[in-house]
Amino acid sequence: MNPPYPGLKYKIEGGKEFWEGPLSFVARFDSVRVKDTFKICIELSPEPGEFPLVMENGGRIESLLARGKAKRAVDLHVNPNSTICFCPKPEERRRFHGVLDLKRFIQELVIPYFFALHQFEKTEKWIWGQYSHGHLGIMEYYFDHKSDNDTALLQDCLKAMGFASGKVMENKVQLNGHEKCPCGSGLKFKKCHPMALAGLKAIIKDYFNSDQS
Amino acid sequence: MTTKEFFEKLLSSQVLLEGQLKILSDNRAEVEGFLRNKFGQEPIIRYAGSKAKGTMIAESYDLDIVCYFPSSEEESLKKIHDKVQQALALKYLIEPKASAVRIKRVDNQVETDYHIDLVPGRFIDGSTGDAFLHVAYGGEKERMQTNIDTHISYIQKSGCQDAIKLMKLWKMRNNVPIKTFVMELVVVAVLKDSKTKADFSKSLTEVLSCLSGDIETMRLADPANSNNIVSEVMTAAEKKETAVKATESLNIIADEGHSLFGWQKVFDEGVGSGIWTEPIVIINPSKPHCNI
Repeated sequence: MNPPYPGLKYKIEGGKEFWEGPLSFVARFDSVRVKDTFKICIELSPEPGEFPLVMENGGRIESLLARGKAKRAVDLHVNPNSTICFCPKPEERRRFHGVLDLKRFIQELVIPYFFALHQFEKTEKWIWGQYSHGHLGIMEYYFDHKSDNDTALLQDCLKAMGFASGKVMENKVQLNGHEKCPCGSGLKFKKCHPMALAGLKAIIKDYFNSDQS
Repeated sequence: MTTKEFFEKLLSSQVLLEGQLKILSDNRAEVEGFLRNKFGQEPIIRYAGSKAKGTMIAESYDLDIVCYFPSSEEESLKKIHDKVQQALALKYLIEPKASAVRIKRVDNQVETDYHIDLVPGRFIDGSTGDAFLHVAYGGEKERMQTNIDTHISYIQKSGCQDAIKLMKLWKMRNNVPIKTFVMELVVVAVLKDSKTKADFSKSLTEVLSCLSGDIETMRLADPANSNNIVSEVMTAAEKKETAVKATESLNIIADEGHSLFGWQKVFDEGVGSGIWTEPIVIINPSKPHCNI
């Protein structure tokens, strides 16, 4: 089987499929060039089109946390199960339209994440920014990417925020800019996460204008 | 891939993207607008450096601008330099250099490598050619005469722009402390009469050989003023280290039999254990997000 990226080796363990090994890349963003190697493990999903789970198992993320460069794993966009969050869920569909090409996945999401992590190790900043955690990030994402009549994006964002349960939106609809920010900071929403507030307002407006209502 | 294709790919990877070019033109417009507010329409403000010469590389670019007052300006060169510096300090994070004022860029509160070097000066006569600059190299000389049109023309007519770009890339990737203008003059001195400039394997080997054997002793004059010995702006230590790095690169190339592999190593293009692929340019990356 041809590896999706040189250096990665295929294995089956516990009925699951993996690509594991060193991910070595040379990449450039604007005038910043990074040459680095991260040890990773990619767990393939049995569902076609579903994103694989990726973990960094070379200790670099662990080292950042141990040195106090980030307070929590989630601040490095790492889930409690050590898998990495490369992008908001709706971005997966936008980029890949339900068809997962592993090589493209590595080039467009995995390498850029590790490029940014390399820069974070040096500067403690995310070079091209990051979305806020949880639903706030989805709202920011919606605000960044919405365009007229893009009901598919609206659907994806609502789904990412758990709209199917109905509960999230009910809660959020009551919030406005002067309310306390849902992130728990104690600050006003419009001061603390203004882009998320803009995204929420856009979501609500587009929701009531779309076929969803 | 052949060695020729490798160099062509390197060169094409260094073409500035539209976004980068826009940053340069926006920054120039912003700085020019600010200076016009302060000093009116009199100073000539224009591109200098690699943008004007056609030797800019995407991996390490900055903006060079000159701000030359007319010859009728009565203030001393030092006063001109200081007033421009003080004006810029009101708006920007600046760092004084020997003849330039460096405006540093800060993105997301992180200081980036990109910067704008602005050189204040005064034209010598009524033309817009020769100019005096105030210089602070620490010696007795505080004034230098030069002409950026001559510099630009010298580089453009040399036919060596691509070789210069490749050597700038080599400098960057190997942390070589040679001044960029000195590097340009070395490349032109070595290759100007060469009929095989575009054979980069051959021509870069010649330039590296010059850096390895001669940089510590060669005297490179400013094409606009033979009294300015440009190579004197480098310290002995910088010249020595440049020679060492050039020698190391030559040894790598020789050890690898002048093959593609050797050049890939010299340009740090990720070779060695067969686990690297072609360098990628990240465009439109996704911001990470944790849905927790």
